[in-house]
Amino acid sequence: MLRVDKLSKTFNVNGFEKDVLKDISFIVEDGEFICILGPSGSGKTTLLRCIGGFESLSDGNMQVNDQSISGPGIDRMMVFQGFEQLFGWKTVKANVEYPLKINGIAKNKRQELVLRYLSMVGLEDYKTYYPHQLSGGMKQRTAIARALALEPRILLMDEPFGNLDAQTRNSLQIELLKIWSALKTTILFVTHDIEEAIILSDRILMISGSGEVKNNIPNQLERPRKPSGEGFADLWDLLYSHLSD
Amino acid sequence: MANKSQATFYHKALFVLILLILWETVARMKFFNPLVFPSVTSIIEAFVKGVSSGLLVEKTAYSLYLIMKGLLFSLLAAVLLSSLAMMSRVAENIIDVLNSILHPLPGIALLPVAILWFGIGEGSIIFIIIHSVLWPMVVNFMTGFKTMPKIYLDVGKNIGLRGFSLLWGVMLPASLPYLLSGTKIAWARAWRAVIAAEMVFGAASGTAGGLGWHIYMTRYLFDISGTFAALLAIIIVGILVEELLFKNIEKFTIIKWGMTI
Repeated sequence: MLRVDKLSKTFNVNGFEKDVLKDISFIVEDGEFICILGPSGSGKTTLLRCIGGFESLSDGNMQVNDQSISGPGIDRMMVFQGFEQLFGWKTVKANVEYPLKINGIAKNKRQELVLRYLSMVGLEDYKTYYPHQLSGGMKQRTAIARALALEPRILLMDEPFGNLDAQTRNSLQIELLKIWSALKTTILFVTHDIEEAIILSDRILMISGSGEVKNNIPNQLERPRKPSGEGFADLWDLLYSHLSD
Repeated sequence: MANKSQATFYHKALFVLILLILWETVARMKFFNPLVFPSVTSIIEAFVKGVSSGLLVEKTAYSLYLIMKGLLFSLLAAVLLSSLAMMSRVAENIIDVLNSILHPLPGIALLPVAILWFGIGEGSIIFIIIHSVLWPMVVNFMTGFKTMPKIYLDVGKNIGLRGFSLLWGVMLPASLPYLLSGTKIAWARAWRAVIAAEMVFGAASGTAGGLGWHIYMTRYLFDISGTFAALLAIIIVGILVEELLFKNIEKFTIIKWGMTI
């Protein structure tokens, strides 16, 4: 369980104090798929980076299973938006294996994990490729496999499909849901795309432009979800009206 | 690909050939005194003689030994200094000041001081090499560390790397293009430093002296073909190191990894 309690984050921007996140509190149960939805500049990414341990908090605290978060850790693996998150000097296989190696996992076990997670994202035939030889979608798949191979408690995803074309994004969303239902990893997924949030989430946490939790909306539509499905349009309208005011 | 690199080789070889023919023509027409402007053939003759007698090889080897000693030390020191600068603001400021003070100082200007401190000999030459090489390396390495995608550091920390393991596992490979270009600059600078320093000291240290001393002596003895033969030796070593060492390192690292075109 992830508990975020009265989290605030202030940045110093050109000599001025800017409140990016204000008094954010929420709880995520194990195995939940949460989408964090908000307009651009609302601090969604900062919130995720705080949970990842990459940013210090200005106020408040966060706990994973009653343990306070202090810095990055392999229990919370982050998948970033940018394509350059893979280590360019390592092959696809080595990118997935390296984190396992430095965390002391034995060679046999490593090989097994690498193979399992690379096949899960459909890249078992690309083991020997270097990142610059992959398409954007394949790079994000590799990054997901790398994060999952460490079997984290929480997977943090910062608009991982934001730079992909619509078709690739759709197929990756479907794959991600498949992986999630197989592994039941807790996922926090940042997006500004209403449709993406509806398709993926159990619950949608809306962040307002001023960096506060605006709404915490359960999403109980029947899976798999399609824009033409029952209730989709209503939920879309609801989220849209919240986003725009 | 093979055709392209073949064509590149022919272009370069043809250009050098034309230069040599021009040189030879000018020398044979005796525009200048042959004593100060020897022909290509006499330079090659002197070179072959120098190599077969072992003298030129010995001098080159000694200079290379000094360069390698200075370069290796500087490489370690530059990695250490630039990574310290990345880890602490204080260290960065100190290194910045040192760089502003020391980088513009020509190595040879420090030679009198070096002689006072380290005596006439290998120590002073190495000191001059390190001084000439260290600062351009530090500047390049720091640029490399600072311009690598910040996301690499986040990923590195996320998977559990800290301090030295982050340096070794992420920062060094991620900034390899800059590490290589810094090392290339250092290699060229080291040659300048060693030749200049040797010319001033010569063999006074009791050693046989290197190529710098050899160049100085051949000029002194008016063996100008010998002087040019020594320059030829430097050029050949330079080409070999560039083509065999640096190009291969690049081929198996930054080119393979798509970090450069």
